[in-house]
Amino acid sequence: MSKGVKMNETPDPTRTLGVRVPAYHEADDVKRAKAGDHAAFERLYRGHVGRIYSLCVRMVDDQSADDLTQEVFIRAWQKLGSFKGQSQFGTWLHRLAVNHVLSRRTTQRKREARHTAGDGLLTRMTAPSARSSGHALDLEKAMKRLPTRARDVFVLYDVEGFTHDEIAQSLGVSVGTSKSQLHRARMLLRAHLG
Amino acid sequence: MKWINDKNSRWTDMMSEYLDGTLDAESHRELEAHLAESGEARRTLEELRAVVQAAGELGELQPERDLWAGIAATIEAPGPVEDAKVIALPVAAPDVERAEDGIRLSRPQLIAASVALIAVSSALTAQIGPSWGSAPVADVPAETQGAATLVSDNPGAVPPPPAIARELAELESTLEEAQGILDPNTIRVIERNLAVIEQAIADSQEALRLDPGNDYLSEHLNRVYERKLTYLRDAANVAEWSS
Repeated sequence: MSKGVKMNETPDPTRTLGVRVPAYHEADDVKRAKAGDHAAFERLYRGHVGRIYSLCVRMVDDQSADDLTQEVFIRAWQKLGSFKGQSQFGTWLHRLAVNHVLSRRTTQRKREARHTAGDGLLTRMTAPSARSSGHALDLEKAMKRLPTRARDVFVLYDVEGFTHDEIAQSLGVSVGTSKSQLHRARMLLRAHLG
Repeated sequence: MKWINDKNSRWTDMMSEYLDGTLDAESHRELEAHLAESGEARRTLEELRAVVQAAGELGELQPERDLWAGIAATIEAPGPVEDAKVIALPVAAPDVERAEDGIRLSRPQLIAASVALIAVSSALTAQIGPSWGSAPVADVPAETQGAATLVSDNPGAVPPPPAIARELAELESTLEEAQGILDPNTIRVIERNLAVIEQAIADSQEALRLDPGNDYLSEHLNRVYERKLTYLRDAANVAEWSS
């Protein structure tokens, strides 16, 4: 991920370019987990579950997010042997999560079809809830109503900090498509949040 | 889409790239000239900027429940992890997803439900003593797994309390009738987990046989019976929805 720190983002010493900076012992925990140490893997889970869950809940529906998050960590456990330490564990895990979420798209489509239909979306997007505490909550809700592809790109680019090249590669689309879907998502959300 | 039909769509189409700093120089100049003239364009740009800013400020969300238990149950389960992914029925019955050809249960839902079973079984084994603790109850011998049936037939030396026994019998009867309705994968899941529970019951009973006056073991056995009851209720619900 090389897009850089997001606009007006409050500097967070535990993060760099949107990726959690490993604590001094994380590499040790990765080694221990690779050797089969469940406690070490649990510490890795505790350190990253929020970020992975956030990705999942924003890209799929709430009910599936728990499932997907668990699957991501189970898959990470299975694939720890392939992690060579060339990137941060968080980056590797996040990439794995994105790939896993996208690979589960097929099984999600039927469920999502009930909520997103692309055209006519603007008219179906509901007004911000009276109970909403602010734009963040409104945005979370509005994102869930975006067409799937637009939501994928928006979450990956504007929330998660991927580049268009990375998104295009992950989604199997052109960079131009990624850009147009991002703009589409922003326009839809702008109408909702405006 | 409405926004595509906007007469200013040529300009708005440039705005995302403008905000991201990826617009080519010529288009950048053109758009800035347009922005200088058009209040509507400036308003649109600011609204888009607000969306980008709001997205960048979204914080981490946390799951409402601890997901680690389900992960731990899977990665700690004996045998290949892949095989351990489908090992239980969902506790939260409404989350079961209907499929045209029966019931489809997502793996983590199954995992989550299995956690309690395995945890109870493992805890029981660990607490009973070294002679049982050396082999986790969840580590059901292959022959036991294969022999498990939907309606278990393991009366044991210590029967469950009468109320539990009655309901167990009813549920077992329900499940027996449902075998033709349930998806084979679901049946396999139920069988495997019943085997785990039955193993826990058998271990408890064996412990009680050796130490018949031990109240602690008696209570544990009852708790395992209750766990079996809970599990069979869930299974029966799935069967009911499949019919």
